[in-house]
Amino acid sequence: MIDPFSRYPAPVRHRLVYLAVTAIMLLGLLAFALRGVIAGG
Amino acid sequence: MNPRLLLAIYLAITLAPLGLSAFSGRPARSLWDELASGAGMLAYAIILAEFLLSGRFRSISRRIGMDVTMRFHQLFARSALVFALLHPFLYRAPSKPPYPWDTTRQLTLTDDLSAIASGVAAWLLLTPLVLQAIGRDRLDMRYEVWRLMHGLGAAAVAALLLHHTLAAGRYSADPVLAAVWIGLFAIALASLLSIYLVKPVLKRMRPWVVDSVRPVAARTWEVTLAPRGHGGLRYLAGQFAWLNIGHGPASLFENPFSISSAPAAGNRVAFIIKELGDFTRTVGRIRPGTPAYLDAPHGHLCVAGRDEPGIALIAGGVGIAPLLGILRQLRLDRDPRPTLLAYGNRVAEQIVCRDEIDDLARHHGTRVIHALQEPPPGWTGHSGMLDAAFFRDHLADPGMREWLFVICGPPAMMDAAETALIGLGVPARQIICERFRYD
Ligand SMILES: Cc1cc2nc3c(=O)[nH]c(=O)nc-3n(C[C@H](O)[C@H](O)[C@H](O)COP(=O)(O)OP(=O)(O)OC[C@H]3O[C@@H](n4cnc5c(N)ncnc54)[C@H](O)[C@@H]3O)c2cc1C
Repeated sequence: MIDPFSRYPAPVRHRLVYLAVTAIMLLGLLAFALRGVIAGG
Repeated sequence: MNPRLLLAIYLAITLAPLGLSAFSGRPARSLWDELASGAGMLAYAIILAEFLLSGRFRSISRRIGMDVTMRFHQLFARSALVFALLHPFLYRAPSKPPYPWDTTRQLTLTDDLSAIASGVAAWLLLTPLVLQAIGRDRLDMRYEVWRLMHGLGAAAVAALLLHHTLAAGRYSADPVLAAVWIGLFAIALASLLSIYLVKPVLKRMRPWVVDSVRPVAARTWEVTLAPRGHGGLRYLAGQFAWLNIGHGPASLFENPFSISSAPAAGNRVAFIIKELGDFTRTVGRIRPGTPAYLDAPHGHLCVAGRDEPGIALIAGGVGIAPLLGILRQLRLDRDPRPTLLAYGNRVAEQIVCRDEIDDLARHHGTRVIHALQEPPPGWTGHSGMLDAAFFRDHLADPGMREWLFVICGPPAMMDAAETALIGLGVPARQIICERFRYD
């Protein structure tokens, strides 16, 4: 599998991975919070 | 374990409570109330996962390195803090007894004072816990004292939050989610117990003794340990150990040091230790015969099993320690691949094991480039730092693009080396590093 961050040195790469994981967490949180709004139309 | 799998497990652990809550069958509340609960759940899940990112678990740090494990530990602690700080302020529903018709508690928050108190206590404790860790270097506090406070503080936060989550959490009324919280808390607690109770017992069963202490450069010592009553340590060249000399097996006085010996050389293990602070400044006074304990092996700075056609080792200062172990092992294995050692120091007196390194150049064919920032008159090596220009000059040979690059040294040198190598087209998977400072 191609690593999208492999062009960057380790400290930058790790921050990018951290940001990507945090973004997924935020999406999870938003999906959780918005599910009532979405279901309610 | 594969880093991608580790990330997937991490996300599964931290997002599981949100997922279980969403599918618990309870009707959703207002956007803000759900955001508040969700932020609280995320914060607690991240905090519990932090225990596994403490750098002491080989299945994690063996794959990604202790420095990387610790970096994620530090970064996610900040995320947990932000989610936790926001949690109480996002709620809009009132805190009062439930309405008789509101059986799933859609409209009100708990009014149970003990449930609120445990949450407030954890909330108040978390901020200093994280800030104290971020500012540790600026505190006038021994590392071991800080470590004890950090461990106890984290355990207290986790326990208080378990009470708060189970007593106040709307979704924790669901037995599956409650079981998940208790399970995650039990894993976190078990990780602490394994470090502070199980490991000391294992260490007591495999004691070591200081065999010799000798100076190998200015303010730098080689300490050799011999196993006492057991066969020694199974490790790979380049790995590191938590070393405790002269204290009991359960002592908090232990520091991480790379193993500079080669496993093939016998059952003694050696460390190269540079004087820096409280413990390392006393190393020269350690007497042979002093008892010692090891928590090892840890780390991923290993060339064993790598099949790149050549190996370049880039060391700065005492970062030579693990790389010397690797070179010693390659020599004992009669590894036929070409090797290069670029080794930077400030002055010539800091060059560790200089005769042995010259010998490696003569007998193993290692190409050695010494670099000195303050070279003496008549110096024939490189003058200056191991910086971007140095790497472009010495590592640009297209034949080296397939090599494995192993880097250990001061952070600025490591950053320069990695950036230069990536700029030269070396794929990141062919660059391995271990940082001695992870903050
Ligand atoms: C993976 C790894 C491998 C290392 N290998 C070597 C090596 O081969 N040779 C060498 O000379 N140094 C090595 N170090 C650095 C070494 O661990 C520190 O220099 C040493 O712990 C400092 O201890 P001190 O009591 O003398 O200094 P202190 O004054 O107590 O501490 C100075 C700094 O060292 C760090 N430190 C201190 N104690 C610990 C500890 N128990 N755990 C983690 N960090 C600590 C902290 O950042 C602290 O602020 C390595 C570090 C790591 C993380």
